[in-house]
Amino acid sequence: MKHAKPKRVCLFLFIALIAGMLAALCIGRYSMPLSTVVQSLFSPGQLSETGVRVWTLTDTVVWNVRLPRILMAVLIGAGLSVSGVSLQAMFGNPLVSSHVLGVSYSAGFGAALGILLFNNFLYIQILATAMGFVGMLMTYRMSRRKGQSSTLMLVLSGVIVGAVFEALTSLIKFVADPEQKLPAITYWLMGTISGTDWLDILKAAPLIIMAIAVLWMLRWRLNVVSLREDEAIATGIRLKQTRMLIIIATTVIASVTVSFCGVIAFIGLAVPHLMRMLCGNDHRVLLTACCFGGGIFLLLIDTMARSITASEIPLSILTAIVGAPIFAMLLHKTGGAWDD
Amino acid sequence: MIKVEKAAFAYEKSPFLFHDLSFSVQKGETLAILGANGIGKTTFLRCLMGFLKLKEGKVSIAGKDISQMSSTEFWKLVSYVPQAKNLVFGYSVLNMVVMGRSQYVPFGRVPSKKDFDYAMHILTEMGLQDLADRSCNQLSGGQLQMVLIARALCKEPKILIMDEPESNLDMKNQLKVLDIVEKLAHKNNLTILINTHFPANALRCSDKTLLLKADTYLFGETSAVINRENIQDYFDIQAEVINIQEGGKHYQGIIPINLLPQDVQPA
Repeated sequence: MKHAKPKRVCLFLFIALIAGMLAALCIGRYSMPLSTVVQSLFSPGQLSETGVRVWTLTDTVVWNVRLPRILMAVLIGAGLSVSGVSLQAMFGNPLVSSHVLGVSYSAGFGAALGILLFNNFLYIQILATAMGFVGMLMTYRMSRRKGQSSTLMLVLSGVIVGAVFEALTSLIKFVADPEQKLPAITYWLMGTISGTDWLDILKAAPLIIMAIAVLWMLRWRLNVVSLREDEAIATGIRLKQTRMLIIIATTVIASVTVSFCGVIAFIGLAVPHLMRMLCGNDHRVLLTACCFGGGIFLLLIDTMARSITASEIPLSILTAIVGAPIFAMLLHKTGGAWDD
Repeated sequence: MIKVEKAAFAYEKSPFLFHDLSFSVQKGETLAILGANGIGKTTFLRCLMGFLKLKEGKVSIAGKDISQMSSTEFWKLVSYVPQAKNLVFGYSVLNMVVMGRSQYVPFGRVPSKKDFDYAMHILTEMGLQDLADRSCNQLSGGQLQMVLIARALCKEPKILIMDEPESNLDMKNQLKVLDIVEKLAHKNNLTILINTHFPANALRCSDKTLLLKADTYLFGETSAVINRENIQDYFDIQAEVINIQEGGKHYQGIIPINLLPQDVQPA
């Protein structure tokens, strides 16, 4: 399959992302024309008779309700896709993502435990992150035999680790108070970013952006790391150090995501595939493409989640229902473009 | 250039694959490593490259013990050419070759235009320039093997270690690989270690030969090591060396004649 000029794809995706964000600002139960949104973005408020700028309802909706939520969607979409594509390179395997490797489940268990025990956001996040690392290391150790991780071993290890932590999460739900904690845990795990405010952005953005930046710095190394282990070592790069950085960065992304918005499946697998089909396998460009593409994908899903019906639809339901058919169609059409 | 002294290796809870192994290879020389399947040729190369740790003995390069070298230092001198197998992700040939220069790419950066120019220069030298934009997974086995050699050269190494580079190729591609090995050793002055199944290929491209067998080995000039008796001794078959004169040059080949009597299955 001939790929389009990768740089042009990135530029196109970037423009689409900006356009999508503007559109998402207009769409919602309280819909607004673009001109109003733009005016509110650049000069919020209206001059009152006393000369003081007063925020209108429009400004509140744009600035305090929609913008933080949109930014969160883009951040997390980008983070999950970038982490998916990096893990695929590290394991030399197009079938993995933090979800497949069981990391989302272990981080989800950590979050559920946090909700059960503390109901304090900081503890929830710490527990989610810690359990995220535990899950990742378990899968990694279990799958490696003689210095190689075969596709089968990886996916199976991920299934095992995922199953264990899913069971533990069920256990927590079982013992949780069914009036308050149980719904909180269940809803949390299904994934939602409704009610995101600027404080959430302030807490989540630095971590996710840093992790993305680390992976982006490694974009060339990802090509090398995806070779068989001996070959990668023989190029002379520091393989262990590089792998460590990838594990830390991707686990941070998965855990932060889980602790803010629950388990969001599918993006880390689907978006990298779509981007490989669009612009080839060279991770130098692929990483940037995944960043923008992932942002667009989750933005689309979240906008649907909040505007299709009167009540919110959990994200993980929509990512699968919307994403899977698109993914299946493309996969069938191209036969999976990662190997050519 | 490379000196191996009293090397020994065994996998856990297994007898020694080889022990007391000593030899040295000079700069610009090619060493062929021969032996039956499973005798430890690949294991030996993996020990040399530090992927496995020797149980005894030491290996030194240009007088320096490799166990004292940092991996960065070691891999600046040595390049590894693996057997051509399909990759998980199909990178373009140029991207693949430039990976050989990863060591010169600082953390957080991508290869510079100079790196790409050098990779292109190597490809052109090997006559592969037309493949530069093709995906590695669309190449034939022979082409991919050439690309892997180009990747190894892109590092500008002093020593080339090749693991059965010609064993899955047809005759024409085998010849291409052997010619390149010969040229690299004698024109570019590289020291080459090559693992091979075929004594005839060793005869064609190597100066020295290391014959491996359980419990013992034989090392020396290729022409002296590869003969009827040794083939029988080390490969357990009856074989004949044939000589051909063509255009003033002398070529040698090996014809396997028969299994030894004790290996013949009763019909």
